[in-house]
Amino acid sequence: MNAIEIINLQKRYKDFHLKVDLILKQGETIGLVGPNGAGKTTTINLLLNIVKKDSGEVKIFGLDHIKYEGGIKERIGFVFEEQNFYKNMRIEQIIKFCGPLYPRWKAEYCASLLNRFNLPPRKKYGALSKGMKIKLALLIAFSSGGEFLILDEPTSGLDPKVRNEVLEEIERIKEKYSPSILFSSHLMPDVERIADNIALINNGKIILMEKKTGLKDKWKKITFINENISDLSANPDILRYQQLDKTRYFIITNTFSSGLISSLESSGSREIQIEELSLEEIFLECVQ
Amino acid sequence: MKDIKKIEILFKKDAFILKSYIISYFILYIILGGFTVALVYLSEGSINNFFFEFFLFLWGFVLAIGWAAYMPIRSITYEEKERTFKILKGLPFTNYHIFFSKLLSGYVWALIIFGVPGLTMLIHRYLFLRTIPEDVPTEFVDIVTLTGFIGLIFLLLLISALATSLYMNFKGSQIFVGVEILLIIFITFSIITHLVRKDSDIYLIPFLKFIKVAFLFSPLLAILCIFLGYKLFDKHKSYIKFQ
Repeated sequence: MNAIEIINLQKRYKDFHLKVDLILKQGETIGLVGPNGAGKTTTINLLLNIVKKDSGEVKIFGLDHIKYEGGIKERIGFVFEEQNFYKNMRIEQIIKFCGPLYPRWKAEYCASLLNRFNLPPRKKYGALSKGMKIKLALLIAFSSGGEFLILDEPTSGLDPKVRNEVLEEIERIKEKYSPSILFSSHLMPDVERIADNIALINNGKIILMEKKTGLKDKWKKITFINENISDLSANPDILRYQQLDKTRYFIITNTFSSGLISSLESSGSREIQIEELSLEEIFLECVQ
Repeated sequence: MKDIKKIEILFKKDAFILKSYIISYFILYIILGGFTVALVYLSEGSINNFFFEFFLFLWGFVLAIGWAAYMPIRSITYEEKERTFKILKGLPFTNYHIFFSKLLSGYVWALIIFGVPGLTMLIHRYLFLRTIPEDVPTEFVDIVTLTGFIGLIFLLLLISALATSLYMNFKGSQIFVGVEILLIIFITFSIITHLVRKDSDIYLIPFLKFIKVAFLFSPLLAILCIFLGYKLFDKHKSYIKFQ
């Protein structure tokens, strides 16, 4: 069963047009990656019906996201980049406010997480640091008992220590409860660490959607030496190539296979080096 | 979870956020109430008590209408709209829950503000002032008494419904200014009619008739306003700018 199913979802603003298709299977994590303004947050807002869609179909747990909005949201935990809880409420009061909204609220887990995150229950939200605010939002989302977690830029603006703590907790909850997770971020290393699937979004369109392992296997940078190479652009497996000096070349491929190496070897290439591309490099290749 | 339970949770949250305002108003009541009661008992006879009642009524009425319009606007403006609307919509609330909890909170706070002076006034009237001065028009007394009180409750409901729904679609400040202007007109008119009533009933009577008709139709108008308000609210055109 799919946790989310987005078909031809569209939203048009004055200077921006979002058009998205996305599927996330239950228990999997998808990393929604893209630069600022690509449409990540808008997609999430549309998914949660915070912004009304112009057209398209959105199903969460197989149910229409507007018709069954309340019931669906009881099964979703979320973290936004900006938290905006009530600044005059204490941490314990925010927990008391949010807890009853979720029928599967995990009170014990919430208490243990409160400890692990070192969050002072009596402290007012307005007095918390950015890291603590994010931790509180994660605590609410994780304790909600939601089968689906939406994490919108949860690590941006955090110092490396807190960032690592947050990522560790996401990994822990993945291992313990296997929720479906939509992890949106422009921080590629974080997505690389958390996600099983990657969706690259740019200018309101998903430009690539693939399993992380598949992506890593298919996208390669190959460097080699060849004195008398013919036209590389004729090879359909080569996405882009560049001549580094007289005899040295590199190519980028998104359909890597042993066949490509054999064909390079048969054309007289030597000192062939194969490198894995980082998610960031893949994204840049896609955008270019 | 049942919808009514969610509205209750939102309402409790509003009560929590607004508790300092409620406490401050209760303190104000105690001070002003004590002052009024002291004045009543310190005065020589009951002939001037109408003015105390009138003052109390006017004060309660002005505060109530002001609050009925202001409270939903305030809670939406400073809490939901600018800081927390997104988080609320992320939680298992729909526009329906948010709208009705706002309406309920605006209405209940207004009722608290109006109810306390209103009840004080009624208790005062029936326990201590059994005779009403002859020069006070009967229609005016009607408004001050229970019939008028119930009518005003509906009027408050109407105003809070209007304020809540209109604010979400148009500019709240304009509405608030509009309500204030209406209040000033009402107060001025009340004072004028009160001053001229000994010479002529010409201003007072049509005004009171208008109030009575408004009271009669206010439940209907309130329902209509809530319906239209929710329809407008549900479109949430004004939320787009948050993205």
